[in-house]
Amino acid sequence: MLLNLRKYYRPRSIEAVIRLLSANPGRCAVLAGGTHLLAVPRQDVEEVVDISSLKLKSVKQENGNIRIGATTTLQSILNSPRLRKVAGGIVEEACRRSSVSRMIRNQRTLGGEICGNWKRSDLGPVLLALRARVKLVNFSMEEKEFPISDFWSMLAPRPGKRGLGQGVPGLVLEIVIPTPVPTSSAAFGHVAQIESQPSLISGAAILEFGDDNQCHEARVAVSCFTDSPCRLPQLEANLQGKMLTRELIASSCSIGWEDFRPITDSRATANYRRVVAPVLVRRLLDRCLAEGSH
Amino acid sequence: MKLSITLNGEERQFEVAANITLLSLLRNEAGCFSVKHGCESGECGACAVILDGRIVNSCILLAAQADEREVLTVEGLPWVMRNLRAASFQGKEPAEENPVARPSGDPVEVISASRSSFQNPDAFSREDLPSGYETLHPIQQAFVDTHAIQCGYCTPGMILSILTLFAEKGLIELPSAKRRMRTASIRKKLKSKARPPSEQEIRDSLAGNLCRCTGYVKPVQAVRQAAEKLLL
Repeated sequence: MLLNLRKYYRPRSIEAVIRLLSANPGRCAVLAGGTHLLAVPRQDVEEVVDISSLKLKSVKQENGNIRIGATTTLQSILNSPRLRKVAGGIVEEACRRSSVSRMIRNQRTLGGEICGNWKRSDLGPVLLALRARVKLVNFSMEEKEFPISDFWSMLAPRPGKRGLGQGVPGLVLEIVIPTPVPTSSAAFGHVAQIESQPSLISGAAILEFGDDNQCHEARVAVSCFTDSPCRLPQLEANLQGKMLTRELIASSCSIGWEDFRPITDSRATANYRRVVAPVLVRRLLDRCLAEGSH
Repeated sequence: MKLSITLNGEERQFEVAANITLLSLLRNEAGCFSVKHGCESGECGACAVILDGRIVNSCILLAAQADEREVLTVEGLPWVMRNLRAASFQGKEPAEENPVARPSGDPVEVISASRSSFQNPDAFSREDLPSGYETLHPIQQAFVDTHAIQCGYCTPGMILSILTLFAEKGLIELPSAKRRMRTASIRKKLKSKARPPSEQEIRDSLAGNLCRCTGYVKPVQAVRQAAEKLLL
């Protein structure tokens, strides 16, 4: 509920959106699905710019990349046959997990998920493990593309930072996912009190195997940590270039957690998340190993 | 701000403040009291409406977002019934009244539900139905027949969720004031591919509708019964 909302705009061009956002940076917010913006009472928003008329709802495949428009809803992603085949369907699985309610999935957009719910989103670790990039147009009308981890570091709160939309430096146009190599296997998982509740922690793992059955590249990401979904570089380095076994995975999963600070909220404590995270990651890697090695 | 919304097949004009939600507009301005005021945060699904064929929570949607779009609530089910082309209704009988006029299109095949197949005579008589209803929608009737309604607060949201599930499964076609209905041949082709939803699909569809009376078994039975009757 936006208590002080006075103006609603629904422009049809990106230029108009940027102009409106630049005119009132501290009070004007981007409205896509509205599931984050309107779900809690807010007094700081005086104007909203509805971007639903911008024709950013699409899922395209181009030059080995899948390009998903920023206002594509999670239900559309879930229904997309193209995305169902990518990385064992982990994008679809994460979308389904993001909300059990079809109503919410019909409203919630991918752009909103990475800009408004990026710390706790189930899609966060999946996009990170898939090395997704974010394409946006900045306030000078220049198109830029960033790795999603860099994008999230721009959103991290800093003293003196102004503006709504969590400090997004422009308007997100699309999310670009490189198609994983065919010899890779992927898994997504989560821990929740009950299925209908938001995840306490979620994670995604992708292992790329070579012809020699060795792990050429490992990418593991988890959510519900203080800053943003994060990769586990020490764990990944411990797996790369090796012939994977369940024992190696089990021993690797216990290292590299010292620097990570999970959140405490009404659903679980940081200590609980700290204990559960390595177990979740080990199970994900075991699944990848079972599916991927030959 | 001025809004033009096609509500239950009828184009309506509203003048509201920018921060008014679609839920407030429907209840306070349009008199659609089937749309319930629940959590106001998109958690419970009591405020569900169908917006351009997709089920959404009206509490987390600004009324302005529905401008120049189509909204369907349970109050619109008589309109849906009159436009319903589900040729699978048991006991086809021609409708006595003409359906709602369409902007353009092919001649419309008019098939109304046989009251005997959907209505339990012990539970309802035609006189008991609200104004505008010739008969209950098969989904509504199935909810009555299976005693799936307790306090009834979540029921309108559940019925709309199931309506979109059935439309997705090809069991029914949701009418639109702006779009032509499918031709009879396309409907026949789609119907041949239609299949009843599985229990998992029904439960997935109802996952966003919280029942405060905790009744989650009977609505599933109701949906199965309605699907069977629509496929007959």
